Amino acid sequence: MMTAAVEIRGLTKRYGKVQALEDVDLIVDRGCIYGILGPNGAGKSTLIKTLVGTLKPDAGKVAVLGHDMPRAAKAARRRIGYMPQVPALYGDLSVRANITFFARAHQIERLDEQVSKVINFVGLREKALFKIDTLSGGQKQRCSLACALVHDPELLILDEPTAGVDPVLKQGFWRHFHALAHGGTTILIATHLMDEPLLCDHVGILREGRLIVEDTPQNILARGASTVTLKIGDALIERRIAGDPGALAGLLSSYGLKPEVKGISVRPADLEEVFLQLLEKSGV
Amino acid sequence: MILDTLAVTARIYRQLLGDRRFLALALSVPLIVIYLFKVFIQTLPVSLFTDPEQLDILITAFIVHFTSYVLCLIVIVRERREQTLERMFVNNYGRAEIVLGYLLGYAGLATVQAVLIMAEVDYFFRLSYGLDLMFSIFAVIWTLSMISIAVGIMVSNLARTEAQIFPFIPLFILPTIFCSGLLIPVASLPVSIRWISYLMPLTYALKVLKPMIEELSSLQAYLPQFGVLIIYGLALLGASSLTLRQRE
Repeated sequence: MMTAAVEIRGLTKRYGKVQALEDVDLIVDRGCIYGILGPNGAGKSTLIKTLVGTLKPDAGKVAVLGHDMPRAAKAARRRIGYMPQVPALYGDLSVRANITFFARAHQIERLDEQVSKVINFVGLREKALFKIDTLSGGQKQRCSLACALVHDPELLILDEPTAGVDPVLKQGFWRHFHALAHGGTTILIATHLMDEPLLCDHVGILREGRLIVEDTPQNILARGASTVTLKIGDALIERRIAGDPGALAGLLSSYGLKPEVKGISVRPADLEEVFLQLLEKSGV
Repeated sequence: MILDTLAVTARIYRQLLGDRRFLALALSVPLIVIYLFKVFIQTLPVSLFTDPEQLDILITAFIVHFTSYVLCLIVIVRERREQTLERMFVNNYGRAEIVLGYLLGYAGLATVQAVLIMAEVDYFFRLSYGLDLMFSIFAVIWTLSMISIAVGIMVSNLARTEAQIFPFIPLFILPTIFCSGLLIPVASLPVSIRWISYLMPLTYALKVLKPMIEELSSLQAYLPQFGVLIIYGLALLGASSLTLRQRE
C-alpha cells in the first residue's frame, strides 16, 4: 500500500512560552493539492519547517513520503521541493546560476537541460541571465519556484508562494500548480489568502497552532451560515441560517407565504465569512 | 560530497568576482589599516617596543585574522537571514560540504589578501627577513586566516541578524588582543583568565610566528608548533561543521 505523502501525528512545537503547534494530526494524500489556511502567526510556517526538516518538533511524529523527519531528512529531501516565504535567492547571481546552484546537490542528470526546462516552465527564459537583484518581486518568486521544481520533486511544499504577487501572476502560479498536480506531484501550500483554498483539493485551517477544521473546500463552505434577506414592507430583515437545507426551508415557511413579504434573497457565505465563523466557533 | 563542496566554492567565487565593490573593500581595508599602523608606529618613540619588526608581523597576523573572521561572520549570518542557508540544507547540501565550500571559497580571497599585506608590510617597514622566512610567515598567516573562517562560521550560530553580529566582534577581538600573547605574554596573565588564551586561534599562531621571527628561522624549525596550529584549526573546522545550525 502506498503511504500518504505527508503524515503528521500529535505534532507539537513551542517557542519559549509561545505554543506554535499543538497536537496537530494531518494526512496529505498523494497527488492532491492541500491548502493550509490560517491567519499570520497561526503556525503555518512552523508546520512547513518541520516538514522540510529544518525545525525539530517537541513531540509527535512527522513522516514525509514515508521518511521520518527530521531523522531521515536527507532521504526525504531528495524527493521534496521547497519554496520558502521569502525568495531565498542570491541577489548577485543570475536566475540560471541560482537554479543551477540549488540543483547541483540533487545530482541531476543533464543538469543544464533540466535547468532550461524549469526556466521555461516558470516563464523566465528572457530573464535567465539577469541578476536576481534586477528582477521584480514576482519574477523572484518565479525563480524561487523554479529552484523548488528543478529536481522534479514528488512533493512540493510552498510557504505562501503568492503573497504579494499581482493577480495575473497569481493566476499563472495556480496554472503551474494544477499542471504539476495533474502530472502526479503532491502540493502542500500554506496561505492566508482566502481565495486560494478554493483552488485546493483539501483544506486544513490552522488557528493558534491547532488544526480546527480539515475538509474539502466545498464541504467547508457548506458549514458556513448563509445570509437570508427578507423585504417585509419597507423594512429589510437579515437572518443567518446554518448550512443545512432544512434551516432555509424552515425560515421560508415561517415568512414565505405572508403577503407582506415582498422579496427574499439568499447569499451563501464566502470562505472568508466561513473562516471567521469557524474561528469564532473554535473558541481558540 | 566533493562535488557539492565544489559547487558551494564555485558559487562563492562567482559572487566574489561579481561584487567588485566588496572585493575592493575586502582587499583595501586591511592595507589602509596597516598604513595607519605604520604611521602610528613611526610617531611613537621606538624604545616603546623591543622589536618593532616583530610587532609589525604580529599586528599583520591580527589584522588578517580579524578581517577574515568578520567577513565570514557577516556572510554566513546574511545567508541565514535571507534563508539561502536553509534552502541549501533543504536542497540536500550537507553541513560539512557547506563549511568546506566556504573555506575553499574564501581561501582564494585570503591568499590574495595575505600576499598584498605581506608585500605592503615588507615595503613600509623595510623588513630584513629572507625569502624563506617571509614565505614561512605567509604560510602561518594564511593558515590563521583559514581558521578565522571556521571561527566565523561557529560564531554565526549565535546571531540571527547582521545587527546581532556586533557584540561578537569585541567579544572575540578584545580577548584576542589581550590574551593571545600579542601585547602581553600569556605567562604574565593572571591564572584565572589564562584559559581564555587557549581558546584564541591567534595564541597558537603566535607560538609559531614569535620564535620564528626571533630566531630568524623558517617554518621547518617549528613544525611541531605549526602542527598544533593545524590540529587546532582542524578541530575548529570539525566543530563548525557539527554546530552549523540548520534547525531552530
